[in-house]
Amino acid sequence: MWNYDRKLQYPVNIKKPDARAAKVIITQYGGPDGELAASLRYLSQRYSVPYRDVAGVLTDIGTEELAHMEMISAMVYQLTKGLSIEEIKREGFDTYFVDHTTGIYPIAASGAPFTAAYFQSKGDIITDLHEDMAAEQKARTTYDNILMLVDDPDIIDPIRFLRQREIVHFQRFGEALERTKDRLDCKNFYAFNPEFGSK
Amino acid sequence: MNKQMNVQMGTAANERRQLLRDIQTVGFVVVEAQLFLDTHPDCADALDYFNYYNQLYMQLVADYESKFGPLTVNGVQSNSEWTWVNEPWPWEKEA
Repeated sequence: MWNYDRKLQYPVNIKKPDARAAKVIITQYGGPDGELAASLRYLSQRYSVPYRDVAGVLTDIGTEELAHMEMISAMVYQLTKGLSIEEIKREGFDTYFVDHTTGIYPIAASGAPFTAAYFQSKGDIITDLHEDMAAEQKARTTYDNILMLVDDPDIIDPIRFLRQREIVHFQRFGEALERTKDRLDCKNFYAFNPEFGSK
Repeated sequence: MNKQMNVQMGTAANERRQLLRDIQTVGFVVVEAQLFLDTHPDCADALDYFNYYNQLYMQLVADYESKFGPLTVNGVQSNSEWTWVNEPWPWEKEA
C-alpha cells in the first residue's frame, strides 16, 4: 500500500502562468515517456521478479515516479491557473481547454490520451530491465527537449531535478540488470527468461 | 489586522516553508540512499548514511507536525478538529 505525504518531492512554485509551456510539459504526465507510464511500468513488472532486491528497485523507483507525476501535475496546474480566455486562445491552449477546462488530464503534448500501450510488463526481468533503462533515457531526452522550449527559471529548476532523476534511475536499473545476470546459472549463458520455465 | 500580527504571521509562514524545505532536502537524501542500497546492500557506509539521515528525517517531521499540522495522516494530533485538510495542498502555489 501507499501513504500520502503532504509535500512535493521537490518544490514547484511557478509565478507566471504559461499555457504554451503547460502544453509541452503535460506530456511528462500522460505522454509516451511520461511519469505515469514509468510508474505503472515498474509497479506492474515487479510482482513476478524472482529476486527481492530487483523487486525492491522496481518498487522504490515506481514509487518515486508517482511523486514525479505529482510534480508534473502541479506544474501544469500552476502554469494554467489564472489564464485569461485571450491567453488561452493566443497560446494555443484552446484545444485542451475545450475538453478539460484547466483540469489536469493525462495526455501527450500531441493531445493523444494516456494509454497502457506506452509500456510493457513482459514477465522476463532481463527484457523488462532493458525496457526500463531505455524508458529512463527516453524520459531524459524529453526533459532535454522541454529545457530547449522554456526559459522561465521557475519551470527550468524542477524540470532539471526531474531530468537528473532519470539519470540516477538509469544507473540503478543497470545495476539491477548486472545483479540479475550475476545470478544466472552458468548453463543459461544466453540469459533466457529466469522468471519462467528455465528450471 | 495590525502590522505586528502581519509580521508574526510572516515569520511563522517563513519558518513553515524553511522546515518543509529541510524535510524535502533530507527526504531526498533518504530516497537516494534507499535506491543506492537496493543495489549495494553490503555497503556499510551507505547504511550508516541512510540511518543518520532517516533519523534526522523523522525528527524534522515530528517537529513540523507539532507546529504546523500533519504531513501524513498518522501525524494528525488534534482531538477537537480534523486538521488533515486545513493546510495548503502541495500543488498550491506558496503565498
